[in-house]
Amino acid sequence: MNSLLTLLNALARRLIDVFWPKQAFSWQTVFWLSFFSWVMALLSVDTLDLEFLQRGNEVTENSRPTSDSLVGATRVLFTMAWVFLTVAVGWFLANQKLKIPILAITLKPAIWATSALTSIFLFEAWNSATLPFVFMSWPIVFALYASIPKVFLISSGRFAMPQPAVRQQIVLTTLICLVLSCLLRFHFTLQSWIDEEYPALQLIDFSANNNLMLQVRAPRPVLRIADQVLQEEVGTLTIPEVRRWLVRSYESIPALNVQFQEKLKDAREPDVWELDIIPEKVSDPEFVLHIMPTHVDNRIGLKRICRVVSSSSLSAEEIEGQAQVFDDLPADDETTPFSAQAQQSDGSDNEDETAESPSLAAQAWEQISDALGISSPSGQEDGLETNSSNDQSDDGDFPVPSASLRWNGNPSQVQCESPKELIREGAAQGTE
Amino acid sequence: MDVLYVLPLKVITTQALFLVMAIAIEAFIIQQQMEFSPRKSIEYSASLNLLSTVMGWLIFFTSPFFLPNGLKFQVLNYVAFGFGEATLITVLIPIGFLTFFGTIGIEWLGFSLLQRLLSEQPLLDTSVQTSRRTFFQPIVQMKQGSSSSGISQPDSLNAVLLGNSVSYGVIVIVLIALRVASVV
Repeated sequence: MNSLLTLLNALARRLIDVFWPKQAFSWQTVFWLSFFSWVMALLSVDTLDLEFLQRGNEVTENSRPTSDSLVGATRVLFTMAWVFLTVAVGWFLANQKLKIPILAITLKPAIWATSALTSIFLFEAWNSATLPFVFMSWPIVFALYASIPKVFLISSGRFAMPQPAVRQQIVLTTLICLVLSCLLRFHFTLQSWIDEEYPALQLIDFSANNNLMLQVRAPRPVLRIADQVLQEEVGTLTIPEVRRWLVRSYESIPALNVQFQEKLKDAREPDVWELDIIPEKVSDPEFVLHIMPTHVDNRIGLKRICRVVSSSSLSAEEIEGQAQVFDDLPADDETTPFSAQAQQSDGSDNEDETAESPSLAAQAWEQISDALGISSPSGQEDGLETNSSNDQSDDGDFPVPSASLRWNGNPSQVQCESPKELIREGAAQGTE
Repeated sequence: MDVLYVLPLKVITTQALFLVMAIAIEAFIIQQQMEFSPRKSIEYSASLNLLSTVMGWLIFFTSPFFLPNGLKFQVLNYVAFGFGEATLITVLIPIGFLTFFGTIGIEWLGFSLLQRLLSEQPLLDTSVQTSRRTFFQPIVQMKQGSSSSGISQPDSLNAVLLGNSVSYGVIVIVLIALRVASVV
């Protein structure tokens, strides 16, 4: 106890020794001026502002705790506190030199410290919105502070053109500092691109593998929503129409993506995914569904092979190889408007009154499915007075009126098989 | 969501390497062409290369305003993950040419500026007229082939051109070597 007290006493003595001004014209005086300004600034803060300062941890980009909320005298005092602090630190470090042994470089910590304090104060380091500017301006302010004493002669108090050698030194220092500032800015630019414009890059999982292997996982809800979107797109079409759609799928992809992202938003999933359709076979409609993070290199992401099979027996007959009708489908599909359309569009010679019905039915289907959120198929079937072509999957997520999607490997249901993640080797493919 | 933090260390180290290489090569050539002292030629070469680097960065930072959006992503992709698109090379080649000639222009300009800035005679004495004349002097002198008057020497363009050609050539060779090394 006693020893602790003596230790504290010695510490206090030492602190007083360091911070007590020995003469009026010294850095300690300036330091105490700064301290005084700080205390006065804090005293002059309104109660409302004090509440604001107490919420210090919740500082966001919008709330700027000091300079905007502080007015008048407080602001002046606050500025003076910073200026005095900067001067005090600079004065304290003035004659110190830091020598880097191997490179034979002498650094002056005074300039680094004062320029850092200046840019911290100028661009408000406590404000996360302007924090990058603190770092970017630091080298520039450093260059300024480093060259001022060479141009402005403090002893004689006048400007003088320095010697050519000194001029060269100033030019080099300034340029090196500008390059440093540019590199820092490059870093912040990249970071802002990632944060603001390509948030999907955040989904890349670096921890799973070493740095060269990238893995992007689309979460299961995202996959289900992609399925829904595709079902909606393809579900109202007949097989020949699906073929036509597949051939020109590039035309419908933007619209599909808009739907996809709207649905993602509705489902409160991050809408950083997009889908792409790569046709594989047209006669026996098959395509690769590619779900990938938006804007990211299209070679990463998740790919699944997807086949479109008719859910009505009639259209299934027309496609010769596709006779495997789903087990759980009703046998008589001819009465449904959807299969009627299939008949009509395939046998192009008979243009009868049924030609009108499919589009009407399709419209009704879209409206109702939108209204119902695509989850209860029975109700809308009643509304259309049709009672078939209802392929309900195990997941219970989607009814298919006419054509249905079939994921590779499970022919009887519309079902997501476990996604195959594409793991790609960054370096190897990047250098192809 | 985890925050992805990208530190472009690769870019910084590559930049430092190429800067050191270019400064060394150009200093040698400036020393040969201009008959400067070794120290002076190193200082000139360093200043000019740093100046062109800064200019290049400034152009890069303003480029999103006039370049297609896809390029931005490719830059990001390359810097952050080291993926190079196959199409990137088709963009890089014209950009490389523009950079080359831009660098020569900037360094030539910088050379005459530096000569005026570092000359022994007082800077502020030169009136506007004479400064204008000296600004265009290198071209005139190149045509006349005389180096009697003025601060700029006629072969500054020559030195800058030669120095840049050699340093760019070496950098391209090093880049190709790095690429080959990363493939193998």
